[in-house]
Amino acid sequence: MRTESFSERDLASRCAVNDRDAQGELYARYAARLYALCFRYVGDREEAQDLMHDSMIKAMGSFRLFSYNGEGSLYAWLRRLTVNIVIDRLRSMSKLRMVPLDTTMEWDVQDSAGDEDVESIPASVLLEMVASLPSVKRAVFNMYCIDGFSHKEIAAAMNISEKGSASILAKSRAQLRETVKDYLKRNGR
Amino acid sequence: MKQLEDIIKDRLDDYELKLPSMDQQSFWSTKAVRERAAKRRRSYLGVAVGLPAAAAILCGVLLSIHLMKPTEPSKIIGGIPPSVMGLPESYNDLDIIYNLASEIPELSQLPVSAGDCVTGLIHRLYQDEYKPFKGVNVDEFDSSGKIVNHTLTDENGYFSISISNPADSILIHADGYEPMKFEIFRTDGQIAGFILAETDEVSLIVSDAPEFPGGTQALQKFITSNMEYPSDALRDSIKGRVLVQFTVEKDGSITDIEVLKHVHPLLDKEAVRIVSGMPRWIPGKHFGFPRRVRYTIPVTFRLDNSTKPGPAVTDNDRVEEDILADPNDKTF
Repeated sequence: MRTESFSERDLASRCAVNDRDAQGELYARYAARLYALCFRYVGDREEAQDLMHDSMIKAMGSFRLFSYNGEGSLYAWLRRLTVNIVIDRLRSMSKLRMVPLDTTMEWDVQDSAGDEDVESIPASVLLEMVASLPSVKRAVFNMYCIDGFSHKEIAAAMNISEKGSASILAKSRAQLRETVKDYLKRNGR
Repeated sequence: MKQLEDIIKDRLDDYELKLPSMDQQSFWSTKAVRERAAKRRRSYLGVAVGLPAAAAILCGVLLSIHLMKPTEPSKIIGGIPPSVMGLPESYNDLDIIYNLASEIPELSQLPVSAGDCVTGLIHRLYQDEYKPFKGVNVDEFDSSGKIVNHTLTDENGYFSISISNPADSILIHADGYEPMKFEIFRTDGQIAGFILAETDEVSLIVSDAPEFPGGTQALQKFITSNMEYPSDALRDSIKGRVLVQFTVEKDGSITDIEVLKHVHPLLDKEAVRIVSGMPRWIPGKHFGFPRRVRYTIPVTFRLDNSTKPGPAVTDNDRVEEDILADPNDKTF
């Protein structure tokens, strides 16, 4: 059976009835993206694989709850499901309650690297940079800058204040800028 | 100009990370699912894999001390209300409230009896994250310097040492870290926080930033009043913002000056000259311990009608907002 020809709607409905081929196709299409998502949240490859697998399994069990509404809605649904699983896991980790120190860099080195310089950094390196942020900053940065959560939503999900979220976000940005600067410096730009 | 985070979002939003090849059949099998779940329960949280920073990484040890009689419950109470420190309200026994005082906290000298237990929790600070520090030496030593009792922290960073003589002191030390010493006291449940500084490392992040005497306004005044705009640069209308990085030593002196972002050799040289002439700074500290800190400042060369080569743009000149961090900015 040619699985590449499954439409999203087909794929979803077949997965809902545990069609083996459809499950394989789902994995082939989305696992790598969801794995990247988990990795940028938890920073550890094994943990990220585990979480991705968890989300796949949860998806399998929840397909009856999924309703297709347009192209891309399957991926959006999977993605949201995965983010929720990741955040649940982060919440249950006591690590999340360690509060980062106040940073001291008053000088906001905003434009110390040109656009072209930053654009030249491979995506895989950018991923490592995000993944190597300390846990709290990493979570907030991912939620706000990549997955589009508001500070209100972040505050609710992580049991911190909105102001705390904004503050942590600012520090995470500053730290990433430093990391990028270091990287460009070391790589001769 | 595109923000860094926008670039990151564009590139990582739908990024595909290559998975180790696996047999799909076994992936979906329930046995594999159970095994994975069990493995997760057994292991501690995945440790973040860090990219080594080019500059020195800050490593410190936070010590929280709780002196108690053996029969008392080991509840940790903070000296500062959580709300003031911006921390969540609810804490259980294992949470630690770090004392963010910039000075070593005054510890009250209250009577302590032989046989009381000093218990503590030591963490290692690594890239802004606290990790339990196992294997730290905790010694009780008497007035002649002799060690009368000794223990090590366990894998949770926890130690408990029974005091033979209240007049003794405690020494906490680990290889590569500056040792910490204090007299035995009873804190009545109050947390005292300390950092053991890694010997001589230059830090990027500390709890109390080094400061130019008089603050950022004074620094800006210093720069503008000492700037001698190179006449060749003036003639050729060369301007820009040079980023200069340097180390503020523990005594406040400025060392290791280098240009982080170049504009033009003439301006770079002048920026370095200005920075070299700076007076001593107030040194950076990390929870009471002086630290060597790596710091960056911009030196902006602006052309306007009043720019003359040579000394002194006067105090009356407008100072641009984008150079200074607003000292009243409470956002962060």
